[in-house]
Amino acid sequence: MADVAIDGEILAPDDGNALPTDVSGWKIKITSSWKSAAEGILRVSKDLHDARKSLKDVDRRLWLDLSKQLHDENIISLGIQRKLLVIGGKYPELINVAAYLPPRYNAIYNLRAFDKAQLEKLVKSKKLTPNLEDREVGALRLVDNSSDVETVAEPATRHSVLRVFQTGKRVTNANKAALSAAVAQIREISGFEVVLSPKGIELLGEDEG
Amino acid sequence: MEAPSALVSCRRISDEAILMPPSQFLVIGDEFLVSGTLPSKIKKSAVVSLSKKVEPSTTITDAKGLFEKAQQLGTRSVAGFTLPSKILKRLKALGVELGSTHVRFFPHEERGIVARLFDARIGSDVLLPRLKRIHAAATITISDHPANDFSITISIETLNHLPADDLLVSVYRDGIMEAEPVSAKIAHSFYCRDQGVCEPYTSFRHEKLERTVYFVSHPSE
Repeated sequence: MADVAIDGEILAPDDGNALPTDVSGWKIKITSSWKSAAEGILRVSKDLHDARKSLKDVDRRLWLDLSKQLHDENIISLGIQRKLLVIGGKYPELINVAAYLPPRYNAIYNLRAFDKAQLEKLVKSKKLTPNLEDREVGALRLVDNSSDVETVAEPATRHSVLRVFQTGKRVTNANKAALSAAVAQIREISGFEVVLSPKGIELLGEDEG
Repeated sequence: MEAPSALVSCRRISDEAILMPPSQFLVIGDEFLVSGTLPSKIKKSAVVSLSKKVEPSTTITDAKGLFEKAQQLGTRSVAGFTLPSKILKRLKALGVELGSTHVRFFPHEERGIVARLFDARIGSDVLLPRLKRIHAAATITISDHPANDFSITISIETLNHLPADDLLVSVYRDGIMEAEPVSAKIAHSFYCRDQGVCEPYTSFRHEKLERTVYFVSHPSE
């Protein structure tokens, strides 16, 4: 409904959608939209997760029906639903860092291995930012090597060890990051501890040993 | 009728798959029942061969009843969690390392949902009459979110057959566990049944008997 001014002139309603006219105004508007996009993905993930739990508590077939309808009506495919469900399960951890997440469900899904403290640490160290590309999120995932296994009684567990030998190829600063990522990937894929040569430790830093 | 290529990964579960229009399939193995939806539609119900070991595929007429029975498994859930591929891999490796026979999933008072690997034979003189070994168990935290009370135990063989993927796990009131792989190309779930065994919760050396005594909680209590 239009506002009426005191002198009788009819004014257009202020719908709050006036476009900015300067760089800083546009920057604020775009930043806000970009950051809220990630929050939107988290919200729909939570809704999907809650719906699954709530319907399955009554009858698993109700959830299958909803899931099928969302897929058949071209709203969310089954494959994307599964990834959103994983994100939805991590909602309490992720919502705290929503403003720092890249607004893509695949990128957010790749952050699933991090717990709340690790995510906050990434934000603090400015490694987690909304401008991250998917491969950069993947690299973040690879350096996570936390352990939460409690073994009781005997025998003491022996950890398999994979030794990485020096190949003689010169490692430059340019490919140091790639080498670091490769070492982390070997750990990830094989589950082995990676033992570096003294030269490797010197090149990649103490932490990688 | 040829087996849809999407079912190739189910060869390790069984040599045959049962198809029903419009696009449903069932694979019945020793450890699991696998149920899912094919990406393409099919016209007739049929049993299709997934390997060369069995007879060529045949069409069938009464698949509907079988699919309805499969749907009746696990109707009301009691708990749900995501089992990350990384933790699944560690569970499989630790299971081998510790010689575990089973893994039990349950909510821990302080740590959220955990998986505990254990050797179910340890408390039984019948199963292990002469083997003198020290019981080893490992507990891994899966999720630190609070959960309803539940307990479900599956064998290590079953665990090892689960695909190396993030799994959306649901536990049902009738003791059925469903695991749905997140990254699979076709939508499908693995269903298995609670094995009804628990790890010993304490053990001590009995001086008079000169043996180690294990107390085991009854799984139904």
